[in-house]
Amino acid sequence: MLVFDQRAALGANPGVHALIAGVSAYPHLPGGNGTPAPDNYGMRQLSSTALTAYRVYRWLLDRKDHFKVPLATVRLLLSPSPAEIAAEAAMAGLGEPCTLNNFQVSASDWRTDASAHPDGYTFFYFAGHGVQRSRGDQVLLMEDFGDGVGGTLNKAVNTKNIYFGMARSDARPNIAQNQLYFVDACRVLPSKFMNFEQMSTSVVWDVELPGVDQRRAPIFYAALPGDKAYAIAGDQTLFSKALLNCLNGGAGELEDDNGVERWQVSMQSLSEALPAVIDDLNETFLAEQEFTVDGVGRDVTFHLLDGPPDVDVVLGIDPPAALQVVQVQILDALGQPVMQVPVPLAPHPYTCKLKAGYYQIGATAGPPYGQTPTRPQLVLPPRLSWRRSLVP
Amino acid sequence: MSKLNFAADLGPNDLSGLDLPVEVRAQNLALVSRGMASQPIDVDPGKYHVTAKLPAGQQLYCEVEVRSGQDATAVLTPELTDLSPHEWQAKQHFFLKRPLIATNRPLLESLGGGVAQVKLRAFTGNPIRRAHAPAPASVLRVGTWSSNAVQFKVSGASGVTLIQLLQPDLPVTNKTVPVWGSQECTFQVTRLDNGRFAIETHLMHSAAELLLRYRDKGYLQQASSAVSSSALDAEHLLSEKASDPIAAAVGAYTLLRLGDIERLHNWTENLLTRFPEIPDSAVIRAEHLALIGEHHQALDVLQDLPSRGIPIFTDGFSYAMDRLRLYAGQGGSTWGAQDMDRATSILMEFDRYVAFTDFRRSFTSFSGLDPGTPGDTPPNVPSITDNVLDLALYFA
Repeated sequence: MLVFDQRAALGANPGVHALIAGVSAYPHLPGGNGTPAPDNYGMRQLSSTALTAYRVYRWLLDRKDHFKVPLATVRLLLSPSPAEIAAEAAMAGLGEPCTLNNFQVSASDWRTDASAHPDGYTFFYFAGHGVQRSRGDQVLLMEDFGDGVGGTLNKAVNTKNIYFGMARSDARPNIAQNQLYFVDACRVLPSKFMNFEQMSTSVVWDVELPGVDQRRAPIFYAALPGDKAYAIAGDQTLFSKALLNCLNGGAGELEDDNGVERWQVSMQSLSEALPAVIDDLNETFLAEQEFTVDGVGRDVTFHLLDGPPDVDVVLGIDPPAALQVVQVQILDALGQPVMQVPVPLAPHPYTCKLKAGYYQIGATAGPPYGQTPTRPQLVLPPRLSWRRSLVP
Repeated sequence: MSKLNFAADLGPNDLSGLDLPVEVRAQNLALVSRGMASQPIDVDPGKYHVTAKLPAGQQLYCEVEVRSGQDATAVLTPELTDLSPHEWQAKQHFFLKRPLIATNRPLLESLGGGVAQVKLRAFTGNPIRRAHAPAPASVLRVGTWSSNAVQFKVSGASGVTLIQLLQPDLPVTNKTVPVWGSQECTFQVTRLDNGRFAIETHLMHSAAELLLRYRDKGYLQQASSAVSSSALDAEHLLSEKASDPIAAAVGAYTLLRLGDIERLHNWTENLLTRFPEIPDSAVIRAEHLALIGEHHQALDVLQDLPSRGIPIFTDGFSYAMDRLRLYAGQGGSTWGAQDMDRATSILMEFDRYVAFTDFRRSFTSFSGLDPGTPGDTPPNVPSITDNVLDLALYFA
């Protein structure tokens, strides 16, 4: 369902066309209010994926004037749980349910809009249940999965069908060449699938064999083939937390933008920064999530930041006995202290935030320890781990 | 303008002299250049920040001042805590995400019995066509080892195409062998903290492996620089004198991933023509043709893939499967039933592997005691005695 539309204002100019879908409520899975699925393959209701999609949608709106081209359209499909609506009342009645039919209609309209200008961008985000039919595959389950109509995966779509159908072709010679895909779902192969020959999904569209394909079209998968994606129940998926962190500066880099130096996020900087941010979340939530990037293309800048991003700086000192007496110094390029680091250094490791930039960091400690002289340190997103050993 | 040179030193190990991608930023952090450490740049006088990042995450950093009329050199070295614990572990340490050896954990004494049950086998031939056979264990030449890791080499001259790791309670792991001609590659079997064993592959061509690991880690900016290094020059790698089609394949896969079709130009055709026995040469050429819209030609090339064998690189397996599925499901006036049937026929030869392939690995890896019949049944390790290298001795 179209929930944001600036096509009239844009005219013939390129824009960002987004399709966002989040499914938490699956009526035919255990806990749902529909007829039980013939086989649920161990899947149950979700509690945060619709809310996650909503937050991604809100982020696009909040930052709509900070993309390389203006935000043109957003199509939103949400199947939230009652608890998610209670947590975020704005979701009530927003968008339309992510059934197969609604997804196919929205995707078709999305592609039509995206076909207006080759310099345009597309933004695709799906959060919900996902499976594999074979390793290297990714199937997305719509809200009406398990309704008992047709084959097992009748109410499911395949990302590769979507991806190949968005290539330039005779029918769509001007389709946007900058395409961003984010698939936030598991990629587990249910063991029962191996009892069947290749199970077919529904198609989103027929794919015409493309001509020269020079899209910039990375696909970010929240899980490695065969692995799960995780979420904080009732809150947000881990991948989306990492993604929004990186889009908001964790993947920031200072690059030339038409002769002007600007902090911005590109797909390559995103790909480089995500592992560290996801690792931090894994440590916090005791998860083991990894992501992967597929697709093709040269780098493409997407999001322009307001200025130097904040960088998480983690300070560590060895041995533990020195923590009571050590004074860590953080100086700016002019040699001036930028912050007061507590003595003793607690909690340890000590985390603070600095604006991305150049600093000098060192440590001084009382007897029997000496001094670690300040040394130049480049502080760049997503984080800096600084650790020194003090020798008596 | 003065010249800014770079010197990267990863310590005394088998990565000595490795050319690294470097990034140069001005004092205000504005990007000045991205390139390789072997390529000096001209800069105005001033202070610059020079960084290099390794696939395993180690950062090398140097602040350098360039004075007017004087050349300068930025020396990049790892922090002391980031150095490789052993010289022969350098690739494992700097290229892979998680070092397989805990370097700061005290050595633990075994408190009980339990001999490590881990064996290796090797195979020649093409398992796709079930034309494979065990190779004598002597083709696996043990090199260096420690209490928790064993390195061994395999030569292309042996004709080995697959290595197999057998351990109790886990499916058998088969890994492709990335060698050609008389080239060698190195495998490392490491005992993990949980008592199980993992196997990793290392190329003879260090620059190619560096590029592969950058790409797999998602460090695409570094990969984009590294693929331009002189060590990965396609003309050189595909020449008669210095043939290294495996390294050339790594470069080609990177250019495909980066969408840099122009730089591929006749690289892929030469790779296929000169090295038809390497399965990946067919996949790379087919994918290149597909990206420029020559789908019938791409399918013609993929027709031969089953007779060549399993692609060495997981990228190749993925590309092949995705294209074949697309072609098998295609309809329309320009793509007839015959083409769909051809694609389906090729797909069916590989389909039995897809469910048992670990697409997370760089080198094609699948499970199954018989490489011609993939599966996930754990082996009875003690009963497998023919043509095996028993690694229990090394992990005692």
